[in-house]
Amino acid sequence: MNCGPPDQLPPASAPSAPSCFLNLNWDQSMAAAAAGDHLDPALSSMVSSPASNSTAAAATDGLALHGISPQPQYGGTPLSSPPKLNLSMMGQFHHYQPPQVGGAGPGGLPILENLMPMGHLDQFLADPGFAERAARLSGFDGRPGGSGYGGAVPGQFGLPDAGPVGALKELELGNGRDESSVSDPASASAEMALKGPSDGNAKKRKASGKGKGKDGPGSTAAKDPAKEESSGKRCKSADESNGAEDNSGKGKAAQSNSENGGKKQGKDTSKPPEPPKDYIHVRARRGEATDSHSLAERVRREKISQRMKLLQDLVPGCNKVVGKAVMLDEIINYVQSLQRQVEFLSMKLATVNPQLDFNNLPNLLPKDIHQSCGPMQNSHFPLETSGAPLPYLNQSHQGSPLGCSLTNGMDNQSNMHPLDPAFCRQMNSQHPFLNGVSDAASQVGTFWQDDLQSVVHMDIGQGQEIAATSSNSYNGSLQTVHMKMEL
Amino acid sequence: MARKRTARPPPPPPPNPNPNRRAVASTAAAPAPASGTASPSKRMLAFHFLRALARIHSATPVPRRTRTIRRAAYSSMARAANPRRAWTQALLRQVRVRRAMRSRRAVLLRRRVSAAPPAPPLGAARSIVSAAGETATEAMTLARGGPPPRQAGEPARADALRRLVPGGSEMEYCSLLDETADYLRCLRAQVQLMQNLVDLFSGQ
Repeated sequence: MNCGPPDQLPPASAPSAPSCFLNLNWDQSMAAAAAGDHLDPALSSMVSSPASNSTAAAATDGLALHGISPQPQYGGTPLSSPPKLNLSMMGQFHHYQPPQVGGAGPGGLPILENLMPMGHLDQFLADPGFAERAARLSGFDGRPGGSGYGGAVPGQFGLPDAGPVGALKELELGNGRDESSVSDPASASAEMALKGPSDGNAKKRKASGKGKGKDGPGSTAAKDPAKEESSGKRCKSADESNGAEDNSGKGKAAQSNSENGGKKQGKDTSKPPEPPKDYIHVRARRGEATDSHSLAERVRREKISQRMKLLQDLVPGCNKVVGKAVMLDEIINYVQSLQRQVEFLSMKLATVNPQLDFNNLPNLLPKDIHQSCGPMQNSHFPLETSGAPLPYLNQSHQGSPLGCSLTNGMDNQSNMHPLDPAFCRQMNSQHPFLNGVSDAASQVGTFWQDDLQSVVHMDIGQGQEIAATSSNSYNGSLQTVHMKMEL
Repeated sequence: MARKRTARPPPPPPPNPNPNRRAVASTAAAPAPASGTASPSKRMLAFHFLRALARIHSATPVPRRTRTIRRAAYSSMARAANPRRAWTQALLRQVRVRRAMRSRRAVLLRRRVSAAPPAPPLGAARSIVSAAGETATEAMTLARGGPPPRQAGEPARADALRRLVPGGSEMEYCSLLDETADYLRCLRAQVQLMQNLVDLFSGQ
């Protein structure tokens, strides 16, 4: 289930943000790593180790979430080719461009889509440095230069949902150590994945930690192994709340906490409580400039991408679309089509309405409702006078059956009964209504109030407003009707 | 008027919407919330729209009624939705300005017609009224310092979107996307409601 054979993964298409990232790199790497038999065992171990959620494994589980790739073993070429580390496990974040991970290790960390039962780690990019860190974190003392996956991989990739959480907590707590820096992003990412879409921001930032250059801002500075540790602190973007910042002390000091805004959904409560921050703390990602402008830019880009993701969910058929420009076009088309539909439907409503007439009114009601309304209608309809109010009445009358059908379905049979007289009454009052004559009978007002309340939980004022307009011509049977109109 | 919105639990990740709109939403009472903020309650939408519909004078000719209904649709949608939204406020403002324009135009016309021979063409009256209306909108725009300067990462198509979404010309790109999402949700609910109405009316 988890990490199926590579062929199961969707074919890796262009390097440009395929909608389902996992696949790409993994595919390539898998293909390339045909010879990488060593990979298979790793994969199989990854696949088969859902149960291996030992705490030690848990730590790496988080990392696994990010698609740690056992690159080092491949001699790097196949893996290095896909610089795109696409974390979008769920294939939702297509806009995210793979980072240009230059440097030492074999390229990106292919993400095993199946490894993400928990939702989408979007944009979690792993880079070789991260892999190394992960390896370190997992306790497999990797070889120098970020190669330590071989041992680390097996048994660590099973990602049962509970696993990563534990891993996260572990990781979070281990702030002070070097590994913690590594673990933090991992845990953060895993956490993010667990949290699902709610933490889009945080996820993004975390993912960015891996030297991703969404718009390619970051020069993928070739990282040398020596820098990996420093980059570790970089990785942790959204989560400084943990003592992640402590880690920043090492290596690069360019702690990019220049953003203001305090937007971050950091880790969850498992983290040690952090003093409330008013600023948006952003970490400069690996290989990126650390000045405030670029950081602000990056934050802004992340916000935009997050919003685009939301929009993508709203617009049907946008899943296959990749890229911001095309998505924007789709959105525009959709909005235009909806507006055209409103226009068209309003025209239809305009033409349909006049055709309704009194006689057909009972027919317009749903049958079951009609029965109960029948007797009432007969007695009340004679009171109606002109044809002019008829459409009005029809409209309003239709409102209730419509409301019923719209909302409560057939639950309102008994409730429909009072509707007719109410609406008939309202119909009579059409002209007074239009003229602004209000003062309706209080009974009417009360009646209408009740209806309105039940309908939309609106406050009474509105109901009275309408009821007031209804004429008093209708007194008789109204009082008998005390029904809550369920609209 | 106070509008109570039914509280919603945090929505689960929304399924991607396929255009499978059900005509009769028996579950409309508890509509599946969209991602993030929920779409306006169907009841609210229905209530506002039906009320607006009810106020339409039946004697209006069809083309004019179409426009009225469309305006009513947008107004009711704006009322039913979150009033704190930028697009909502912009939409309602738009309606108000237009109404003011129309009333002003009517007043001017009447004044001109009654006071003097109808020498001043209608166009003058219209221009006056439209100027008044436009200055109102312009004032609003200027008050904000004009539309925000073109943002860096903003694609070229963004201005088309700005034109579509009410109030979109003064927003930043980021908030434009946000407003678009909300607007889309409400718009979709409104279209569903109207479709149901049409079905109800015409189906019987």
